[in-house]
Amino acid sequence: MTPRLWPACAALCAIGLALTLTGSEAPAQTASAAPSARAAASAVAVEVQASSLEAPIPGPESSPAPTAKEWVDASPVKLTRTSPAASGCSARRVREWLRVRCPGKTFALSLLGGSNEGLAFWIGPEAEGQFGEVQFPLRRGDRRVIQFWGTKTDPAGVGELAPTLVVQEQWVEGEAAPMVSVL
Amino acid sequence: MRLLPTLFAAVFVGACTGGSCSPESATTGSTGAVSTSSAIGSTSSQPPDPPRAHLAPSLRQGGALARGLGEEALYVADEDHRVLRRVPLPLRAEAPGTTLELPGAPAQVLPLDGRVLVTVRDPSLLLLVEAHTDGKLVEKARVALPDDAWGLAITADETTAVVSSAWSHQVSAVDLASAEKLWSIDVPREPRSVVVTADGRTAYVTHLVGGALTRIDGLREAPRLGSVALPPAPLRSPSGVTLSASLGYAALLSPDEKRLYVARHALGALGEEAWFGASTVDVLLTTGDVPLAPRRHGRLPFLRADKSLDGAELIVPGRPLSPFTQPRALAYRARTRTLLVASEGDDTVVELDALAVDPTRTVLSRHQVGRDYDPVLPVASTCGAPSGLALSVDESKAWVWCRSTYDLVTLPLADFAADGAPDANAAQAAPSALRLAVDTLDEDGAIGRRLYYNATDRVTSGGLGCAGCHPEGRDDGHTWHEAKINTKDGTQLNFLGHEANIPEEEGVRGVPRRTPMLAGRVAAAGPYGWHGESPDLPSRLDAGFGLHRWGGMPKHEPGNLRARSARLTAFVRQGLVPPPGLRRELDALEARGKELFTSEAVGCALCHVPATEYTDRVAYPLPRVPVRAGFDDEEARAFKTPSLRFVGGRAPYFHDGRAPSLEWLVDNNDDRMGRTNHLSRADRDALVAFLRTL
Repeated sequence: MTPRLWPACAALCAIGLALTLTGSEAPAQTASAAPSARAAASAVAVEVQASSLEAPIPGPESSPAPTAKEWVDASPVKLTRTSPAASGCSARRVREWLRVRCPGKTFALSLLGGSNEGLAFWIGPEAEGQFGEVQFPLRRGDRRVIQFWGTKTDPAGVGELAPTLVVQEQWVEGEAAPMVSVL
Repeated sequence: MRLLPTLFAAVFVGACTGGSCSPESATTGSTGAVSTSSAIGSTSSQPPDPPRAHLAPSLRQGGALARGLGEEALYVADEDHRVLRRVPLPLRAEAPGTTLELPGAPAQVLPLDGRVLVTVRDPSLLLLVEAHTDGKLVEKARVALPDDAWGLAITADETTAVVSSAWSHQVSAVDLASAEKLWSIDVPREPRSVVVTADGRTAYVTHLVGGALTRIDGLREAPRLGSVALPPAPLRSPSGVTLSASLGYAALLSPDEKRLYVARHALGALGEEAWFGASTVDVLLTTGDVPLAPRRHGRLPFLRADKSLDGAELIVPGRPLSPFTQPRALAYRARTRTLLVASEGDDTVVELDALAVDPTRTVLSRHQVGRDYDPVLPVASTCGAPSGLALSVDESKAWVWCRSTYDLVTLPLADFAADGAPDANAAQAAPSALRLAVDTLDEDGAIGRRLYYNATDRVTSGGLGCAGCHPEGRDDGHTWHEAKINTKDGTQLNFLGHEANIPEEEGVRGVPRRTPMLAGRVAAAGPYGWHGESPDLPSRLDAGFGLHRWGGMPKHEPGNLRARSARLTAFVRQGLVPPPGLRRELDALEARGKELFTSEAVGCALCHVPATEYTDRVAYPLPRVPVRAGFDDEEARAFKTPSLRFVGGRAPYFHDGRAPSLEWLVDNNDDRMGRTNHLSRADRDALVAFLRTL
């Protein structure tokens, strides 16, 4: 993922849909006001060089989910592989936590497999293009596959779900770093 | 076994001059080998070449197609023409190369320095062939192996070959210096692809039937057998369910050998309009033999913009259901860290992310190698059914062997960074094809062959070719669900891979239908079908076209249906090769079994008439048995006597697959078919032993 202009507050800056999970908690949806909405108003775009996923994760391996302030200050991170279709996506990391946001009208987000521990989904408001955003921790032993969904119209004019991007995350035991792709 | 020690030794030492022999193998080879080294120009006064690095995993494995080592040539195991082909590169029509007639149909070829290993199915052999620089191919030695030698791999020190024998379900090790079989070991049904780890200690074997892999340790000593669980397509599996798999033709180790890729078909995998399941590449982490992809358990979270709580469509991967169909071969591009998959059913080669948890979900590019589609019967006239793959040294191109049209195709590959992917909108360089041979069958049979492998003709089938369930005319070992379901085309009677493929609201699970084997069992005029409901084979195929899909048949002219079934009939009768048969006298136990089989007291032969493929083709009502779990009962109780030809190699048995083995079948027959309750243990064993010879 190439370095890009990154607003000082890009996460949860909008009022959209959010879903946060802890452990085996059942899914619950809420329309939430993002905690850092005020910060968005003063967002300043800065160009930051993306770090590598292979950079050591500071601090303990398991820490609480970052605060909104921490996300505001988060650095972009370069993912293991991204496709041209995901060129607009951006990723940031705070400690072991990763957020990936992809522009484009997102109709749904779903976990196809793996742990929902610490997993959170957001869909931005229409005014902001209805982006999709996911957050999860990067921990040893992880496996996650997350699907972004859009919509398309079939030849009969009926709207239907259409899978768009897939986020795949893994941290195989014995490996120095996790791998995350958006394709 | 026919062994030509002196000549073979020359071949072996030829390999050693490349510096690839370990001290151990050189010592072994010296038993009558070193003295012949001057025959190929290598003398003891010459210093040995520096040791060559161990071959990459992909170069230690056989395939239907392989690139020569240190030479500009491809090798093709041309099964239908029973030849080994050496084709010089670049491909040119005026230089089609040389061939070596083989004693039987080859399955895989593995080129090394100056020599080529070839598996031959019937008679079952590992051939050691010398490859001269002028292209001449000369057989140097042959090693007899258990019936139906197929998959092939060698240890990194190039001293030992490990060969799978598909029909006889065995794996063997061969010492390449002496051309002697070291051992054979019994494994589950239809072992196919073999990979060997660099340390030479472990082999993994895939199977055409079933999801588990076989692991063999101690390759040079006493082999130890293990089973490795690798659930197919876990992200498309019903929650908590391990699906079965088929079509495990291909496996490949990553260059660092930490990942083993297995391409196959997940029977009953979930997806939109999934009736047959989905093709998949599953990844095994070789450290600990752990599947990389997570299993699906319980509820999976989702979020919808419309705030709906309906997630049924969201928790399994979306389309495409199968980005490739009937995978036959794999190749690894190290520079891009991607996998190439030869997709037999839709005449494509797809490129996947080799680093992904689920590579199947990461199609980076898709190359249509089939072309010149017939306007009436839409099968490729050029590059149909790709089944072999080889990469150029610089990985800028792949070569593809197309088994239904006998073409070699040069496929330019896009260059992209290892952290990227090709631009889907960028123009792809067109593949070019070289035809190496014409079909051995007549025109109808040749078109039938192309139809048999093809999965894109919507009249014949809904997304899976005949070869998807009847690989090589054999069977997938699977029991399908035949159910009436509501589809976009109305209520239809269709096959489904798993009860979870049936919409819950239908309230049915379907009646069981075990895939029958075709090869060598379709010569009779008729009738066909489990109930004998089809008067002849073309009628059975016509009926099958309707069952093998989700929904109804597309609009078609009746004549088009028969045009397909007639040609498929020609192919399955002329072109499918039966498994090796018994070529010896019955032993005492088998002879006793035959005596019992044909006796009036037991009565097997009354219906399983030996003179007519061990069947009278009559449907008899059978006593009711409890319905197998996961299926519905059916009213029709009369089942046509199935042919017993090749019965020993195609478990499980009965229309519902309830009998896992012939022993189980005889022990639990309870006089339902013939009279077996009175037989002693020894006589039951004898009966089973005889059945295995049919």
